[in-house]
Amino acid sequence: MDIGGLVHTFFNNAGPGGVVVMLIFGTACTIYFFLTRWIVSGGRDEAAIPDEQSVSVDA
Amino acid sequence: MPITNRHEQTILAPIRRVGMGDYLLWGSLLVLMLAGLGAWIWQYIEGLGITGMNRPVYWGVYITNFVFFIGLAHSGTFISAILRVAGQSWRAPLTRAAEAITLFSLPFGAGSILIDMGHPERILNLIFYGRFQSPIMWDVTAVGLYMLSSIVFFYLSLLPDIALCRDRLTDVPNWQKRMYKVLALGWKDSPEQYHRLEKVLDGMAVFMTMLVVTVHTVVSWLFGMTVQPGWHTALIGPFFLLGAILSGTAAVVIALALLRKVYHLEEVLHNGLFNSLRKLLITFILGWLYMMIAEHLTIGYASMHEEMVVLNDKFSGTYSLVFWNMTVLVFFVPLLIFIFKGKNNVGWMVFASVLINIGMWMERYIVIIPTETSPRLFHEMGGGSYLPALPEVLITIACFAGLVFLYALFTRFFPIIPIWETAESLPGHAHNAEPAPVSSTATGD
Repeated sequence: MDIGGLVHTFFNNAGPGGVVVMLIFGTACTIYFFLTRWIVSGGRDEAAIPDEQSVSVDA
Repeated sequence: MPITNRHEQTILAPIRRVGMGDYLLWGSLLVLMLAGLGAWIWQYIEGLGITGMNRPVYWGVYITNFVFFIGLAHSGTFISAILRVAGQSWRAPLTRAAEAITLFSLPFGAGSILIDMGHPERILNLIFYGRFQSPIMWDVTAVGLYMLSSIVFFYLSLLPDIALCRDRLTDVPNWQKRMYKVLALGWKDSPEQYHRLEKVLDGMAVFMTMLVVTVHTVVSWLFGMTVQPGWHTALIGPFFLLGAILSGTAAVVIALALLRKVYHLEEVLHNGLFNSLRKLLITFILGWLYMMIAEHLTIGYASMHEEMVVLNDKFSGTYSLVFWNMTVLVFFVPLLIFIFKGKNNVGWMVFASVLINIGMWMERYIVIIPTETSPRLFHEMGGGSYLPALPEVLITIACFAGLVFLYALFTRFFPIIPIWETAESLPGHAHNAEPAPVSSTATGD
């Protein structure tokens, strides 16, 4: 397999650039979404502990 | 334990009262923005031929605005991210005011490129036919990612204060309460949330610092990667970056002084903060001067014909008036003011900062236009001349009006000073905020 040729084609053809731009933005959006969710869920984890305990006691 | 900040009421006061003055300001700015929109529609229908741009001057004030606004946007990242990484705790009261400049400048910077294209839908060509060899490809990627990251960074650091508005602002309209509730994402003020938030902001600050360098370097490469006289220099990246940080920091001084005066925030935004910014500005001005001399001396000493045409145009030709005025406005006057008058005097600081920003806009203009009017292929393309036409002037005014409008609007609905970052205590003591000193001579000096 001609890896060099493939890389050359990738960099010298119209099109792949746009794919990479979309990929970068997509990845960034996903990372930021999960980071925000992780930060906000910090409080929920703590709030959930007493509820879980009370459920287990009842059981 | 809830957030305790002795300045809370002072910081929240602007949100509680929206007066006639606000409506008048917003209305006037909207009129200017509408005039710009009208000019843009006119340009869209008639084409770029109605602007002052011509062959071979393909870039005019739109690209000048692009570089200027992107530069202005560096203020927030510099104050917030770079000083955060450097562990400078005095920056805390300034962060949001600076980040807001970033957030509201970027759309006008990126928008200027779309306006310059004539038909903004042409941006789709970049997605469908994008090539890695094209610096504009790197530019769109870097600016786009910077914009996205700035929004997230800004929003995350605003989150605890939105929740505070949700919980404590009971006398605002219902729609506003609903807005806070939705935007707060169910924030509960728990120690763990603060712990995670600090962790993410610290990490993002490092990433944002790298981005800020990348973005303005890539912006400068739009020029540097051509073989045009005056642009094709390896110095152009750091030169642009330093200029951007200089104009951005000066913009922060202007914004802070206005906020302090209009919203009576003298206790929070004390003179010590301005003195710290003054010292930073002196350093940046001297750095900028070093770059300026290094750039022009190298070109002048080599005496290459095409380069000398542009250089002479700047020093003693068509653009000499703009060039020397720019040098006086960015370097001589501000430096004298900062050294001899600026200490503990916010009025002089603002005056110098306004001069710097006018000068930096002229600097962007002087980088672009002389090269365009005397390109390297002068003998084939011929020389050119350029004067901005009415649509360009109206659109430029609209961009500046838009920035002020968004900024003014934001300050009436959200705390412009970060309450949680300047608080004396936070839930669970997750955050070791040091209360900002109130003495007028404290800190910086």
